[in-house]
Amino acid sequence: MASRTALRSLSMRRALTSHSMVSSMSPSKSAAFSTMTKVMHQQSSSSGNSSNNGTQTHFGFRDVPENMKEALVREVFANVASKYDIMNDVMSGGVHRLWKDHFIRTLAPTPGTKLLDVAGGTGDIAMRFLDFCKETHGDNTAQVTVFDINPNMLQVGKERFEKTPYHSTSQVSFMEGNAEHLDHIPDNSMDAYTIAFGIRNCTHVDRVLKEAYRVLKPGGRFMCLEFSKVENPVVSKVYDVFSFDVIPTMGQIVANDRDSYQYLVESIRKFPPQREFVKMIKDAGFTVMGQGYEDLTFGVAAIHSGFKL
Amino acid sequence: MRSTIVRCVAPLSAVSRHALVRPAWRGPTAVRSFTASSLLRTEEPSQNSSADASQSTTRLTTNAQATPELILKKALTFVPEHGWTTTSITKAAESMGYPSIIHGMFPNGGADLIDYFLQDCLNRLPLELEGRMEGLSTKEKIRLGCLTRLGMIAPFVDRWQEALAIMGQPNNIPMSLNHLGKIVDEIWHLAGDTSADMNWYTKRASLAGVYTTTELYMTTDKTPNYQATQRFLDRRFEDAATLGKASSEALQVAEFGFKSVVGILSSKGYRF
Repeated sequence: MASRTALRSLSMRRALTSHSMVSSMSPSKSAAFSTMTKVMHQQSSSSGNSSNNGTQTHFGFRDVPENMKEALVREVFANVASKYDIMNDVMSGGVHRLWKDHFIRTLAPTPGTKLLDVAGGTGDIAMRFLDFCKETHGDNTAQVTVFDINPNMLQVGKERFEKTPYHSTSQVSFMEGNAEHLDHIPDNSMDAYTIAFGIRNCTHVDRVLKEAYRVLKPGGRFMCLEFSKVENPVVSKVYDVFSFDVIPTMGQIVANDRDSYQYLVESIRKFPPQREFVKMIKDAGFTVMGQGYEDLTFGVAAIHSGFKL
Repeated sequence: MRSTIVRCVAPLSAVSRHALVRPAWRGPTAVRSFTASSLLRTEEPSQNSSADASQSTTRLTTNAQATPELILKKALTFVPEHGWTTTSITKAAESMGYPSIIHGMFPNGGADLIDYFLQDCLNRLPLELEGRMEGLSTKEKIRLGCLTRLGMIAPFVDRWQEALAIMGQPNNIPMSLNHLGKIVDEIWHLAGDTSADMNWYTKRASLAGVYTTTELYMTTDKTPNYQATQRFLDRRFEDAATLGKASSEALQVAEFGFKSVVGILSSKGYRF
């Protein structure tokens, strides 16, 4: 029965997003360059004489200075924003739609829930959240703040919401900013905090978690949907081939941007595996129930969850 | 001080309940323990302590660990109105000042609530029977154990068929059987059973049969002080004495139970 519901909402989602998918199929002039080299050039020329403190972080499989990662990630997503839906379909074989549906069903928002959806620029999660509240509870008091560092991604989300009844209601608002500093969001103000396929791109994951803890009300829920580690050795082999050979090639074909896709598959491997991430969530102060995560599709993705108590 | 109270909520409330309430209903006969009203009274001290904890503004680590349990404890007070549902849990969370989204702590909803309740009953059983088994025969001890345990569901008797229906759902059956096993084992243990042979299994199997059918019977019993249930239990013990001859009455009750579980599940949208 659950799978039937999932399929139904999947087909509805298809109908809703087909328009934006068609528009994003149109040929794009950008992205015919190497993202990483371009940004690295910009960075080294602009901050050439400022002394670098030498702290390195990973950007995909490369080590880059910490202060550069944000700009590099920004560039990747600026390139892919218009093709984000297609990109996710390519990377997950379309399964990301089912994951996101399951993610919101797991959150199971109640009427009037206030959600902060971080790194949710294109509104994928926000739309599902509002739809869930409407379809399950007939509720139109739930509110979502879509938060993203990237204006290009937010623009895609705004355009998508313009075509829905939620447009220009108080139910949805957009905010640009860094997940490590939610400066304009007061302490203890949110019922739920979600971040889907975003946290691995942040430079300091621990700071992101700390900020999530700060803005949540006591009793509020942190939920993260993120690519994770496949433990099954057989599936893992197949997944490796798919990640490193198929995805960048498809990125080349679909979006004419191999580098961005190369970064995305590499960044997935650099993100801590399930149990390590649970520990980080606990370190930020959250209480986790049971093992603290749920694997999706053999652990290709995982839902992590914690409560502020 | 606060943290001590919070950490010790379960044993402390159980002890205080024991000390405060037991003299009021402890009597020469076992039967008097078997009343809904005395059990409702026993709930009071624990509710107060959970309310105290929720009013605490400083949330200590020990408090965070105890919170899920406190929410479920509070949720039991909403069961007569809202049933064994996520709604009871969200109402409890809201009454304690938490956002209702916290219900995600209990992904199995009603089943998690039932699981907590059954575990709580198991913890309370030895405390409630303490010192009351002396001088009784084994048969009387078992009878007293069963009646005391049955008395614990008296506050929720109108919602117990719903609980049985949830416990009968395929994914909850392991949890239900585990609890049934613990109940009968605890009763035999408290009655002083130390057998270590095949007898161990047959004793528990036959008591499990007696207990479940009596519990089912109790959900339909409207007599004062559940007198009909007590008589039903006595007749089941007589059946068990002449093992292998389950009376048609027990079978009828079992059949009724199966049908009502099916009925409740159908009303909740399950298909067979």
